Amino acid sequence: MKSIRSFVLRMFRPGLLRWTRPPRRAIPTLPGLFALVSPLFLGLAAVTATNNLLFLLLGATLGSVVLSGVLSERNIQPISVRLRGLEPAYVGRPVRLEVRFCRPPNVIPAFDLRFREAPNIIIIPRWTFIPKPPQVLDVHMEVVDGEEGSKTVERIFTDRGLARLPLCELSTRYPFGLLVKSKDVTPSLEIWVRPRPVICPSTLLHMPGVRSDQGVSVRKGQGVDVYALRERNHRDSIHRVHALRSLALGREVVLEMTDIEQPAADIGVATALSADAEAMERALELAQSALQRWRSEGYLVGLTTFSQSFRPGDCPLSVLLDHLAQVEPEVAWSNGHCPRVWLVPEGAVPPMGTTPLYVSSDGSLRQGVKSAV
Amino acid sequence: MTVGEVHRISLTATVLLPSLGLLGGSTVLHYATLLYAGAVVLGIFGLHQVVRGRLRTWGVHLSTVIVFILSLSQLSYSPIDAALIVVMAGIINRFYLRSGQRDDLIMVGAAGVLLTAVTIVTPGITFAIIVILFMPSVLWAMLSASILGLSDRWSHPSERARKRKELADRPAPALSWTLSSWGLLLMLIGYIAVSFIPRYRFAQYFTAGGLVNFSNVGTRMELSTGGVRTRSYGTVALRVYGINRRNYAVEGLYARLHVLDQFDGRNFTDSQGRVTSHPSAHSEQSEGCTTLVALHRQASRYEPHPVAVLGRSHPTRVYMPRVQSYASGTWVKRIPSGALDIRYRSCLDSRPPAPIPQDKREADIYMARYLDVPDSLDERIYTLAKKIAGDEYSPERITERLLSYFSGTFSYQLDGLKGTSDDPLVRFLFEAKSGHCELFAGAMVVLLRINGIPARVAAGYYGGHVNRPGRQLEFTSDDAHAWVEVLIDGYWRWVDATPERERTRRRGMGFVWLMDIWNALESWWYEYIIDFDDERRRAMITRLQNVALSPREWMSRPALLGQHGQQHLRRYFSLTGLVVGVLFVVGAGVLRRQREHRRVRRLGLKLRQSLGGGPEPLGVLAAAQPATLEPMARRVVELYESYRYGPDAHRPNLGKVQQCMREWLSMRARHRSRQSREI
Repeated sequence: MKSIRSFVLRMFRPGLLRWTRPPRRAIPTLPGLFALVSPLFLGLAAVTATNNLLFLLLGATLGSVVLSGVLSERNIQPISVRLRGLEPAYVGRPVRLEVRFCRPPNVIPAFDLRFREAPNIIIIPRWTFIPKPPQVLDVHMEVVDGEEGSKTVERIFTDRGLARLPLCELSTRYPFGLLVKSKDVTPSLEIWVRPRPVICPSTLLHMPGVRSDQGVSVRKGQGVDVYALRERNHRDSIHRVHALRSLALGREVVLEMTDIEQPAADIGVATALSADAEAMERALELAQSALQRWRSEGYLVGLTTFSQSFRPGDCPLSVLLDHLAQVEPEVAWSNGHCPRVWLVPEGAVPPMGTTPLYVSSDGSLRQGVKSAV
Repeated sequence: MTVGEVHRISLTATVLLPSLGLLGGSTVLHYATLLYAGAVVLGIFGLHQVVRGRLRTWGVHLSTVIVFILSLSQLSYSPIDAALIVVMAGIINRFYLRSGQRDDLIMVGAAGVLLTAVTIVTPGITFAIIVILFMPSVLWAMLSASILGLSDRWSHPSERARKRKELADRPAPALSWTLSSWGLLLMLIGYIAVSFIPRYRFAQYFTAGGLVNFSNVGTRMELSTGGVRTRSYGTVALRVYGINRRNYAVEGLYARLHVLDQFDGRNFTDSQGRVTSHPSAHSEQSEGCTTLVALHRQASRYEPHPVAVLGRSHPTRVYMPRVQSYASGTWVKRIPSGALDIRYRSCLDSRPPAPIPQDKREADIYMARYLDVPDSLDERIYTLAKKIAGDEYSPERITERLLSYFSGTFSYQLDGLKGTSDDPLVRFLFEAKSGHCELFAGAMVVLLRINGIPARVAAGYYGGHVNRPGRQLEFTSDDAHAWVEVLIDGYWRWVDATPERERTRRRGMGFVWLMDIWNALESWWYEYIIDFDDERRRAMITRLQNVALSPREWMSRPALLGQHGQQHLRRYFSLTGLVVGVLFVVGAGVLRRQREHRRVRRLGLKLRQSLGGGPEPLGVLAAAQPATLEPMARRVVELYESYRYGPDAHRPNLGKVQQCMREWLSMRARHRSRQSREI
């Protein structure tokens, strides 16, 4: 019985809360509380003294509260909010987001707009100026003069995949600072959150079979002629550094080649449906760190999951990382390019003929035996 | 105007306006208010300063503490004055040391407290002017404070100051008419709405604190009759309305407030117990016969006073809304709203029966009261009375002879009574032979009583001034007068020994029409705001119901539509037409505005699409256009944005924007076709 009750609550409570949540909320500020309480005393005095002038003041006080509501509604009613990521997002890392306040034509500027996530907040006590950790979105926009106004904020996402913000609210204290009037806003945010950045373990870096350095290179010049030396740039692999000349010159120099075939590295992730979810996240994080590390060393990188396969050099690194952000567990690996080494989360089975690296849910690696062909 | 300028002006007006009303308070409050207003005016020049020195801060705090201690000295006998002075000191403190929205709102709230006190001190039409200016000031002060308060989000003081200056330099939102008119309209609607709350008269059971209860102020008003006081010392206004506000009272009206029937040889006093029984009202001795000092509340609606109206035959209403005396204390414990509304019946055509008891013994006692003459009276007065009456026995003839005696040999003057005798009556009758109306009336009554004719002194007003804009007859202290009531044939008849030309001190003065308009406005104010009580509210609702329901009845039975019905019908249709007209004009304005908004919105969407779309601002999209199209794109975007967001003074015509838009679209189409041909 208890489970049924909890099930019903779990199923219907969010909808019920949203359904019973009023479309507009007006929470008085501290001065607004006085402004709302003062009519009670003023009205009592007016009724007691039968002084019509006190009734006039009472009417004025109530009128100002009504006017506050009308103007604040006029301020926030036409505003819509759009969010856009300005850089790639990683789990647990602050990402810069652009919050854009859009509104139809209006001569009067919109003042004092506050946009924030309000997952379970029904009553907002009052404004707080303490800087909040960026796990929740809290944007304050002083003035929106024209059709649009934008502001850049940081936000940390805790889950990989398509970022989804909970129900947000747009509020304002305008025009008199008596009421915090707010409305619900469903933000349209389209940003893929990549796995958490981790340090690539040395086990994975030195794993035989994931990197190939057999690039065909033809030196410029003849014999010991090293006139083709040049300074190393970020595209050059570290193994092309001319050690002796670098030590002599005090900076890294590489040999200029007439034709360079970059070395390649690739890895697979067994994104099986049977894999432990936590372990799979760790495997994706390791895969991401390895891809980034290899690419920084000048390798062409490739990635294979159960859903899709990218050969080294097929696409840039960002596409691979976005794929890691979007990857979902699959039933089985479909045939395609098969790397020699696979990261296998607990509970998953590697493709046959490959070298598995088992990943536990705490992120530790364990080398397995090459599976039979 | 910038937000900062609006804030300075509106906040200063908000804290200054209540002081205009408080100036009419007690002496202590009067001088405190003057100091307060001076401090606020001086503080205006320092309003823009945000960063303050330590010396200035402590100096302001020290001044506040000193004022607080000084006001404590007032606390024992004038707590409300002391409280108001503390509120003023608090406002000045925050005014000089203000640092954000919180202080601004505190000042606005404290100004509201002062304005509440003003309802007690200055209930007249001056309050209307104050409150009409106060409401927009408060709204604008709170709005601008709310905008400037956005700078509080910056934690670092220098950043906060920079942001505050940036916000203060912004142009004020184009809400001037909206805010002010909405504020006043909602105030009026709010008043009408809350005024339907019934009055429970809780004051009978408890007092609602200091809001309405002022101490150390006299509940006494000095009513000086006979013109012995100047106008500036005390003013009493009586207003007389005719039925349906159409008929005016005429010159020559006597408005009696009291009868003084007991004579102790020097003064006449009221023997009814009405005046003397009241703790705050009494009669006191003076140089003349009688000077009445009475509480104005003795004339209440529950105590109808007969007032003779010469030339009038219909019931009339005496209205005395304003009684104030600066010298003896203005404030009363409760607003005397209904207490001054006197309803009475005229006694010209249908003379009211004299209150003579039917029983002979009681009638004798009653008559003896008005024949009472003290034994200490000078013998020369007896001789004079008998000499004037001669051999006449008819009370009418004796009265006529006495009137002839006074009109022939006596003159009117307001100066001190000349002569050497201790008895003022002897000095008036035999030495000075001149004096004011109380002396004439008092002497006449004594001479009548000596001749066996019951008589008494009546005190009230004579004459008055017809205020045509207000359709009312006004009395002031210049019209205060005393005359004589003689009991003849069982009825009190009124006679006046004072020479006719001297019965009123009212003289012509300049700008009468201006004073009339002011008094008419004040009368309207008292009529519909101050004294608009439950009874009148119900009557108004009944009238509205009649207006709303009558036409249906008239339509069903047109034969019954008489002159009265036609009048109502005309009023109904004119009112309905007026409402429909106003709604039509407002609705047309709203629809026109909405149509313009739609048009501008479509124009914006079209422009954005023509520039390639996307969420970027239009200026960025225009800059991304090909080189041949970019100048035109920039121009059309600039025109569009200046039309949409620019100030009214520099807003281009919509037709010009549309024309430019058409040119831009055609240029873009030509560019595209050229590109397609090249491909």
